[in-house]
Amino acid sequence: MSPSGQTRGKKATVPDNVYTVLLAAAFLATLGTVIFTLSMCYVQYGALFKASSPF
Amino acid sequence: MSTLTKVLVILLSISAVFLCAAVVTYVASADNYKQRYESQRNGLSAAQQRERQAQDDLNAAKQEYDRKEASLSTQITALKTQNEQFTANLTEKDRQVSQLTARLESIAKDGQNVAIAMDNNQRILDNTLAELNKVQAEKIKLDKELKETTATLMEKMSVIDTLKTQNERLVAEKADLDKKISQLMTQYGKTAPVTAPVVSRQDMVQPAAATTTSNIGLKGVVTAVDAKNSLAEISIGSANGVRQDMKFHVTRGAEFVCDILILDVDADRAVGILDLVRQQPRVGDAVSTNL
Repeated sequence: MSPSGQTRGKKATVPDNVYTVLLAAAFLATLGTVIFTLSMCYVQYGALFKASSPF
Repeated sequence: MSTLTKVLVILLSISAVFLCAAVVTYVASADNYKQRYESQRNGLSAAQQRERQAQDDLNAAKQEYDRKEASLSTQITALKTQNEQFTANLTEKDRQVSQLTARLESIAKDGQNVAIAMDNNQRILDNTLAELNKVQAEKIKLDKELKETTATLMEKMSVIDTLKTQNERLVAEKADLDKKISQLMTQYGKTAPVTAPVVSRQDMVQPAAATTTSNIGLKGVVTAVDAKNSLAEISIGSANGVRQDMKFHVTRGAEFVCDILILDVDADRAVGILDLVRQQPRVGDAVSTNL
């Protein structure tokens, strides 16, 4: 991404960093979701991936 | 960066955001199965404990039921025995009631007969009372005559006493005159003739032949004594069986006092003349027909 394209300005374009930010936001949202899900699993079942026996 | 890459980045971001939102929503709203499991397990334990408690209660209730059943069976047996006894007693009582009813009927018949007999006795009693009234009237009349006769007798006895006194006085005067005559005749040498007094022999009242009373056994006491006229009154009369001319022996302790020959008899007393007088009788001396 070079700023020369913008200066010539034939048409407005979104800078590439925006897409990077979007990817980072998506990653952070996914990561937060995983952390929230794991925390809820640990709080409710006492383990992250272990299935508790009924009896 | 190619357009396709950009589009994929945007689609990936959007899908990631939506997917994360869905996952977060699902996880946040998901049921807490562990908590529900614990709750269900606790409930199960409580239910099992209640079941055991209920089973224990059931066993205790069964034992109590058996014990009460045995007790009630014993009581039922005893009550049946009592019922049989009561039934037997009732039968016996019914039989006794029948017998008593029969006896009551018999007594009622006897009572009617007794009532008839009482009526007859009442009539006889009325007749007897009428006769008794007549006899009592005659007795009162005879008592009156007896009192008059007794008064006359007492008057005559007093006259006799007066005459006795005069006779004694005249005898004494005669003795004095005989003495004076004897002295005068002695002075003139003569002897005075012995003269006998012209006195009629006065007999005492002699008892009649006594009635035999040795087998009667009457007993009484002396209630009055008239020593002057040799009369005595005793405490028994015609109501006790005393009759005229009976002879009673008067005793004081173990000593014989005299005999009493009954002259007059009243209902509850009698008067007699003294006979065979050894001692003067006193009020309270015992009299009896037998010694």
